[in-house]
Amino acid sequence: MIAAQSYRSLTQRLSEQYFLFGLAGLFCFVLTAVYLSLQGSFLNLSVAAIGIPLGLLLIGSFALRRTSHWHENIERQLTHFANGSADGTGQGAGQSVAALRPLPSVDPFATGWNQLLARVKEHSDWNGVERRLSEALHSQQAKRWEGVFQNLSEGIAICDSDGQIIQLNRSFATLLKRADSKSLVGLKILSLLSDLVDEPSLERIRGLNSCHATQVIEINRSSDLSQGVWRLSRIMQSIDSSNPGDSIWTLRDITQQKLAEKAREQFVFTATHELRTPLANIRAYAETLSLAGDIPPAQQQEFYNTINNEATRLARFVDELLNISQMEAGAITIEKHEIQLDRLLDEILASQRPMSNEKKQTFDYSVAPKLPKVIADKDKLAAALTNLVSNAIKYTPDGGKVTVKVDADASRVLFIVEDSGIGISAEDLPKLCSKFFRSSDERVRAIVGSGLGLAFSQEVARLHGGNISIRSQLNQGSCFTLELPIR
Amino acid sequence: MSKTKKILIAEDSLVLGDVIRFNLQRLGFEVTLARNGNDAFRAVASEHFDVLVTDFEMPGMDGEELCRAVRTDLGLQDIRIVMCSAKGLELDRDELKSRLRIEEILFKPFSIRDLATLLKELVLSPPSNPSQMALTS
Repeated sequence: MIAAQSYRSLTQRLSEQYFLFGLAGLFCFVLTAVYLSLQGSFLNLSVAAIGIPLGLLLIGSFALRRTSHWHENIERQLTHFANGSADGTGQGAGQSVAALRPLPSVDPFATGWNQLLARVKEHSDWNGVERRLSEALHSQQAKRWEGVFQNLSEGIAICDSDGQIIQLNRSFATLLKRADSKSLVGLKILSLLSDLVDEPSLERIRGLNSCHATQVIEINRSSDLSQGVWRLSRIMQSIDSSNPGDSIWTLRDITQQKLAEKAREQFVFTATHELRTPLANIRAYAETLSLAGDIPPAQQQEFYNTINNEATRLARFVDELLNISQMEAGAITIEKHEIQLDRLLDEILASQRPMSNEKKQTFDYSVAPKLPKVIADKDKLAAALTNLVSNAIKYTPDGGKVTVKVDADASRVLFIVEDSGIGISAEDLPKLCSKFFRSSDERVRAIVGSGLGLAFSQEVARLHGGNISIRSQLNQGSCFTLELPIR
Repeated sequence: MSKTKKILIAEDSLVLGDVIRFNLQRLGFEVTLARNGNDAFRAVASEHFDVLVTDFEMPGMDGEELCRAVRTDLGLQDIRIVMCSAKGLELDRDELKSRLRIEEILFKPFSIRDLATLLKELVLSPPSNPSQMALTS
């Protein structure tokens, strides 16, 4: 709109107007001089020489004021704006923009200014909105980070250069068994930790003092791993960071991991032992048979039987290992077919009875008069039930009693294996079905076992949609019930 | 062999104990079989044996405890000890051998023939008694 109109510069306009005024003044002066010369009163010429320019000056200045009025206004505003911006704060600039005033829209020049101002104000308003939004966002982000910090499972504490806690999260306090994390602020982290760990760990914590690199140590609550093992790391803030000398401490509970590692190690030892024992027997008997040619036939037969038995034991253990490795890899699958339960049970009992007889135990077996059809994985179910029965025999002393009972109703079959054995302590009971678990009871330790049988049986029951429940009293006996739903 | 050498076997596995006894008896040794560490200890305490062949893992007193009891509690320095174990690398073989003065540690499955050869060598060679050595030097 402005561009469409021809633009005449201020100088141009001023000179045009003043040229007219000049011409008018000259004309008036000449007219007055001619008139006065005709009248003959040259005296008045001096009055005109002063009066006319004075009048012209007054009129001219009025015109100048009119012409430059808006320019002055804008100039003043711009000067103010420049001073406002000079303090360098965004706030100042914002206020200055707000202070700029539009002009009464009388000519294209003022209209242009007004439009420019409107744009700038619009821009400034958006800036303000943007700033407020970003502030809001920032505080929200800070809150979010605080939430993350507080809810991390890893305990985190930030300490100053003296080792005093400045800030810590809930997990850190929880690990130190303190309900209120604020009460720990200001305490020395090393003395706090030192009170909670065993002697060798204390040495390791002390070792941290003399070293300034990032360090990770493992600390134990006591020599008993299950009491708790922590991984403690200390990260020193470098000199060029915002808080030099501060240290960030993280504390993680690795008890379960440590226990699993120990159990795995134990398992390898047990497994090698279990493999070596029957192998040693097989080798010794085979060697004896090959070395001595004069052994009576009856004794030779006995030796062959022993080799056979030991080989069977070895094969069974290898099967068990295979099952477990499948289970470990999550690759255990069941293939369900309709199975004849009574035959399966007969096979299991036939394989287990001799062991019970050898220990002179009373072995009772009762079964519901009519067993329903069961859809299950025959081999896996047989292995699971065999585990339960052989455990009952193994952990029941000579002369004890083992009872196997099979019950059924419309929806499920219950395999109940009860014994009068050494029983399970209330403490061990919940851990019984976890992989690699073996009780520390000396009577259990004296019997070889991988600590995997029950874990496997439980998994098999679970894969069939069933469950194994255990009732037991130490020194009284145990009762294992495998519940198998009928589909 | 002028006199029948006496061997005590401490082995909780009856199957293995029997076959060791069978072989050693055929070689002319007088063999006593103990089913656990405690029985073996009582046997060593009550009569003289030339060699003790012990399992490492046994219920009650284990092989290591038995050897220590024999060496220190009973003060028997000249009985030769051979240890058998189904354990593997977790045993510190050299440390055990020097601390309890064990002649050899055999890992299962070991060869009966190797055991027999070892025992024959042991009963023929004089025991290296540290106390006697200390007196002579």
